[in-house]
Amino acid sequence: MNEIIPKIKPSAPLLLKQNIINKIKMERKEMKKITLKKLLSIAAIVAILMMLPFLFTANNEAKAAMNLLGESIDKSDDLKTMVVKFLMLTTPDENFDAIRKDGTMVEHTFTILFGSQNKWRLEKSGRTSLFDGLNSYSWLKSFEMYMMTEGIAGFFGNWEEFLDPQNILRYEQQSAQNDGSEITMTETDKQIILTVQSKAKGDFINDYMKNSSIETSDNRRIYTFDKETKLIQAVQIQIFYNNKYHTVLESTSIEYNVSININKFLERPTNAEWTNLSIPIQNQALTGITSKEAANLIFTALANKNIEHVKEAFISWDKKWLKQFYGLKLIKLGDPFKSGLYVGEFVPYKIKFANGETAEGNIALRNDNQNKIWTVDGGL
Amino acid sequence: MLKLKKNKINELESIIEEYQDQLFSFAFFRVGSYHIAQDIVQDVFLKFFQNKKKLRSVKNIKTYLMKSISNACVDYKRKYGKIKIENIEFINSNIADDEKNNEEKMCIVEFIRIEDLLSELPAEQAEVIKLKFVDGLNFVESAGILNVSVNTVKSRYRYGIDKLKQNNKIKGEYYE
Repeated sequence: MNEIIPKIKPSAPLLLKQNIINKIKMERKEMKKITLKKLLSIAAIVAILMMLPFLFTANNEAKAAMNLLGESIDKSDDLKTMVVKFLMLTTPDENFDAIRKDGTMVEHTFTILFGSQNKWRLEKSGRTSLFDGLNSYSWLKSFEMYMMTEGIAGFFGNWEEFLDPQNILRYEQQSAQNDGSEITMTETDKQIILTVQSKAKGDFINDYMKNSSIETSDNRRIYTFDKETKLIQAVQIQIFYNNKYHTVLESTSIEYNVSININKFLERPTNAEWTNLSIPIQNQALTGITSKEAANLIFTALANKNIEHVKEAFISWDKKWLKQFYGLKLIKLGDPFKSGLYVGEFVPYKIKFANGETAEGNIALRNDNQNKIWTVDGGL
Repeated sequence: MLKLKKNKINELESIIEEYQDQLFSFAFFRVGSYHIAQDIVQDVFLKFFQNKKKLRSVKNIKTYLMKSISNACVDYKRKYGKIKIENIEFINSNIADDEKNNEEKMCIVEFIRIEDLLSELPAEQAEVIKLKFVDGLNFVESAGILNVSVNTVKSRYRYGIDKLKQNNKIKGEYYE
């Protein structure tokens, strides 16, 4: 019967135990925060301050800021809904965290339904994302792109961090811990204004992605709280370029506990073909190669008007829309580079379209999926 | 009975140390992938730790964990479909030749060989044979994991072994 007995059995990876312990420690840390959040009182805020004195510069202003955030969180525990309308310097169909300095102030609406599992909907004219408590959806009707994933996805950029008051304390604590953000507080008769100033995050040996989002910019986030209710009344975010701060986001209204039409909140396109990004993709041609080699394969496939063997690279693309690139000619590819916080790589390219026009740019490729398949991220 | 007290990460560490190799091997021989097996084992331990109240009623940690891993593997296969067995030449050419990957490579070859050997059996029979020969469990332990009676495990085992013998997949004496 020896045929059935394996000749060798795998040992558990060396880091398995440590990974589990680290995750448990992190989860316990999170649980402590959530528990504290629910039981929050002035005493609890003081306890947070005692536990985490290293998070902020040890001055009275920072402690007062922590108190304020704590009280705001305490108040927001009772919230059922929140609707934030804001303007952001971008384009209607860009990712929600992308800033476009040459864009316009685009209107956004961010709706949160609070509960044991919060739900969000973020929309602007060209793009909508929805987390319905189970799955995340994001769609761009004009490009016929309909994506979904199981659980919470990165479709929302950082907005659930910036705009959900229950997340601000955690987000700002983390920011202060990681990059030493500076906090200042000013008070008027009716308002408290909290300003958090942070340096750009990411690797900018190549500064292609510098100032492409709030996180990758030197930025300041200005929260205005109502002195009495301790709830956020306004948010403004500025980033620093050309020697001064520019407003890239400004709330136009923040409403609490307004009535939300749940059907409208959960509404998404019918008859759409949703690409489930949670399902691991397979493509042997697009794995185990460099990003430049992947770019070459992808452009060559478009040139040959046959993308069948690299179709996984365009996992979230509408294939009909892709046909506009058919017949292009690849003129050259440059050396790949990384920039900012982007997990993938950028490959410079120059192409000539079938109509004779030429275009230059950087194709964004990422392979941070289960099978390390290179996929095209964003447009060409 | 398990006594996992609050703030006792050390206890969990010793449980992980004791069972991690066996659980990892168990998951690997169900899903055929190192990193998926690792994810499954991690998730099971995390849930195990999070479920402290329920765990007070656990009588046998080993069976409990194996059953959890078994369920997680079934869920994985249900979600992502039947495991595709790549050909051995492809695997040989794609795994670097360092010591760590050498072990991985040999294990994948073994996984493929055993999957192939048991491929003609109904899943229930293949599973009890795996539990015995791959995981080294006795019939009582197997029955606990599969939630069936010991007699059911034994009969599935007998039918499975008979079929393997008829198809000349195995030789030697039939024993329980």
